[in-house]
Formats: sequence, C-alpha cells, structure tokens
Amino acid sequence: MQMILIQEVSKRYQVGKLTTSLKEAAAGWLSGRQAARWVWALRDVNLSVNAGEAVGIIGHNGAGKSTLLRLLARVSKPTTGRIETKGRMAALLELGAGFHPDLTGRENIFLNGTLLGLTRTEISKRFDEIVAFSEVESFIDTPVKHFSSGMTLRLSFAVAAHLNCDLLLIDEVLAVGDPSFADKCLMRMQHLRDQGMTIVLTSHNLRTVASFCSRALLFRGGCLVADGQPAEIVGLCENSTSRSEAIDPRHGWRARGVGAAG
Amino acid sequence: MTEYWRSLFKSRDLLYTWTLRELKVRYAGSLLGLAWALLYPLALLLVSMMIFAWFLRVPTSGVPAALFLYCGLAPWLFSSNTIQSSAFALFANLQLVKNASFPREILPLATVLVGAVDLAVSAALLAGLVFYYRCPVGSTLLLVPVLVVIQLVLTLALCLFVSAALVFYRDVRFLVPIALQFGLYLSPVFYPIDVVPLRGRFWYLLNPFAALIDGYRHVILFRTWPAWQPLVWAAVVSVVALVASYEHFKRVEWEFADRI
Repeated sequence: MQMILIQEVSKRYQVGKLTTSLKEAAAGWLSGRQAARWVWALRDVNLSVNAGEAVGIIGHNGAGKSTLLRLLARVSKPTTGRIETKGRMAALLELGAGFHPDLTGRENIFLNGTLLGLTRTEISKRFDEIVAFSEVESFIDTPVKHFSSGMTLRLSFAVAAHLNCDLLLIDEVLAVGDPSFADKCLMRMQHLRDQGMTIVLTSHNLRTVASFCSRALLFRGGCLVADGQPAEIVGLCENSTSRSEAIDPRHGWRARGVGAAG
Repeated sequence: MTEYWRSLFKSRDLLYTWTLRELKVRYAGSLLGLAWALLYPLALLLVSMMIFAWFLRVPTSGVPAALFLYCGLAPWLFSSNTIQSSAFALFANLQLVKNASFPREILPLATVLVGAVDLAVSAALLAGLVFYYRCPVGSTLLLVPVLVVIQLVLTLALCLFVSAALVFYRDVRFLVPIALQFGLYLSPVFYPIDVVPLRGRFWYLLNPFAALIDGYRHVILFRTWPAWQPLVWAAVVSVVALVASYEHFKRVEWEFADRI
C-alpha cells in the first residue's frame, strides 16, 4: 500500500529581509515590483513510499531534507505539486517544539499528545507506557524547563512513539540523546516497523541510516539525486563529501528509478 | 466553512489542553495567581472613579458611580485585553506553528477562552457591586446572554484577524493599542451615551461596542430595553466580521509557518 505520494513538488522560500512592515509592503505595491529574493528549497521532487518502509533522508545542510519533512507533516504547503499521505501521522520536527517550559512533564505529555492529534483519553491510556519508555518518572511533575535536552528528547520521542500512528516523521532529533537511548529509540522504531508503521527520518548519522533504513534518499540543492539501497546511497554520500562535484543535481543520479520504488 | 468546523471539532482536546496551558502559564509564578483577574479591573475601577466621578462628575442617571463605570468597564476590558493578547497568539508560538500541524485558529481561540475566564470573574464582581448597592434588577437581565454572545462573536472575529495580520505585518503590534484606545474613548465606557450629541449619535452607534456597552447598562442598571436597531446592527456586523475573518484566516493559514 502506498503511504506517501509526492508528485512534482517544489518549495520556494522568501529569503533575506522579509516584507513584514506596512511601509515596505506599500512601497512594493506602489512601485509594482517585489524586492523579495526567493530560494528554491525543493525542486521537482517525485517520490512514493510504501507501507512498512523505513526511509532515511541524507544530504548536507540546506539540501532540502527538513523542508520535505515539513511539507509531509502538513506544516507548510508546497509551492507547486502535490503531496498525499495516508493514515495517522506523527512528526518530530524540532526538539521540544510542542513543550512548554513552565509546565510539568505530565502536562506536557498531554499538550504534546493532543498536538499530535490524540484525544486526552487516548493519552491517559498510554500515559504509563510513555513515562516508562522515557525513563524520566522521577521528574514527571517537574517543570520541563529544568529538563536537560536529552530528557526533553526522551519525553517527546516517547509520546510520538506511542501514538499508534501509521506514519512517523523524525527530523534529526535523535542526535541529542545519549547512545543508549538512541539505541532504545531505534529498537522501538524497529518494533513499530514490524507492526507495519512507515517511518521517514532525516539524519546526518550515516551509520544509523545504513543499518536501520530499508531505503535511502540523497538530497542535494533541493533535488532528489539518488534513491536506493541504504548502503549504496550512504557510500555515494561519503564519496561526494570528498568530491562534491561527483553528482550533478541538475541531471540527477539514480541508483534506482525515482518514484518507482517498492 | 463546515470543513473548518469539522477539523476544529476534531482538535477540541488540543483546544482544551492549550487553553488550560495558557491559564496555568499566565498565573504561574505570580504570588496572587488568579486573584489578579479580580484586582486588575478593581484597580482600573478605582482610578476611573477618581477621574470620572470625582473630578469630572460624569452624569450617571442616578446610579452609583462605581456601578455605572464598572458596568461599562468590565465588558470593554474583556474585549480589549483579549484582542491585545491574541495579537501575539501566533507570533509568540512560532516554534509550534513551524513544527506541528493543527488548526491554527486554536491559538487565538484559546486566548478568547482565557479572556472568558477573566470575564466570568469580573461579572462576579459586577454582581457583587449590584448586590452591595442594592440595585434593583428585573426581567431585562434576560437580554444579557444575548449581548454576551454578540460580544464574543465580535471579539473572536477581531482576534482572528489581528493574530493573522501580525504574522504578516509587524506594524500591527503598534496599531492594535491605538485602535483599542480609540475604541475605549469612542464607546460609552466612562460616560453615558446621552452626552453624545444627537446629530452624531447615529454615527457613534455604528461602533458595535457602543451599542453593546449601552445595552448592558440598560438591561442591568436601568431595567429598560435598549433600542433594538443598534443591537441588530451590532449583531449583523459581528457575524459578518466573524465569517469574513475566519475565512481569511484559513486562507492565509498555510503561510504562517513560512512567514514567521
């Protein structure tokens, strides 16, 4: 079953000075030109992901990895093209984004859970499980501002990982945790995958991608330049780090037919 | 429109949790906590009594000045404070808007609900004053819920508009307080509507807040029914404003994450 379908998706952002004052807006309007500079964060991406796949997205900073995840998470809309996702989705895009520092861990679990689309009853049912997984029991009634970033990660991953969702999106956040918790997260994700969940994650940790994912995507300059077996793509990425001209983003380099995967 | 309502209804637990969060965070760390919801209008009542009842001797149609002033102040403060704080509802929560997908109107809506808690507290204070001054009340009180609903609709409409506008134009943070000052002085908060010259009365009552505040005084303090034309006008303006600003909000909603 197809979980994600991305067709000819491009995303453009305004960069530099944003027109956020009325004066500039009026000036731009009167002179009939837009002073804005635009940059394409994603260019013409085509992709389809099937249920049960674990897709790792790799690429340098600014390659478009996070933008793609934001679009998938429906936080923002593509400038052109179409994105379809099926089923319930949970996204961990930025560490602690759904947390409030003045609230306790307990209150934040409810806040974070409802943000991800759960009802309060559902969260209550899974509450103990979430707390047990996060291993922060003794701090659960402490305001989150006293948490370390690792503890915040534990809690936010624990909430997302106990959602019973069909699609999990994770943007780089696992890098913050200690190695043993990162392993625990990977094991949990493996378990979720075995139950049929589809996972899309971005990472700079090529080893994680190579060992955990069933498929890897390499992005460069907003383009999907390679799609295929993790070992192959990771090798490609490592090579291209030394010889950055190895892949021409305009022509692309495909280990497997893009869009026809699975 | 129905589609929006459906997605909002689906996220009702988030609305509840977020409103609870706003309430907790607002009073967290303050010594007097929720008592501020009472102390704030009381302080404003004191200073306005000094100026308008003692210095200026504003006519109050035989009603005790404290009662007269507070009956205008309480509803105005609700709208004014809510609009002011909802301006930042999206802007102050950019982390959330950038990283989670949910109906964005929940954020300004929660500030209105938090304001409604304050409104309940200050309504209790008003009831206390009515009781204290032994002000007789009558069946005209039945109109109060209607007035409250109209005011809620109008306030929500303005909150949605202002919160979205601030994301696009930072100037809005300066324009909102100015507009609210205009609203305060162009509504019969500190004076009775009778002092407005008859020639200008029609234009004055085009301000829906003027009709509402005058309406509250009529039904709570004077036991008379207010003129219906300005109130019907206020109701129509409020509903049209809410539909228009909600529609606008949902149309630009997708740009918030990219703009902030």
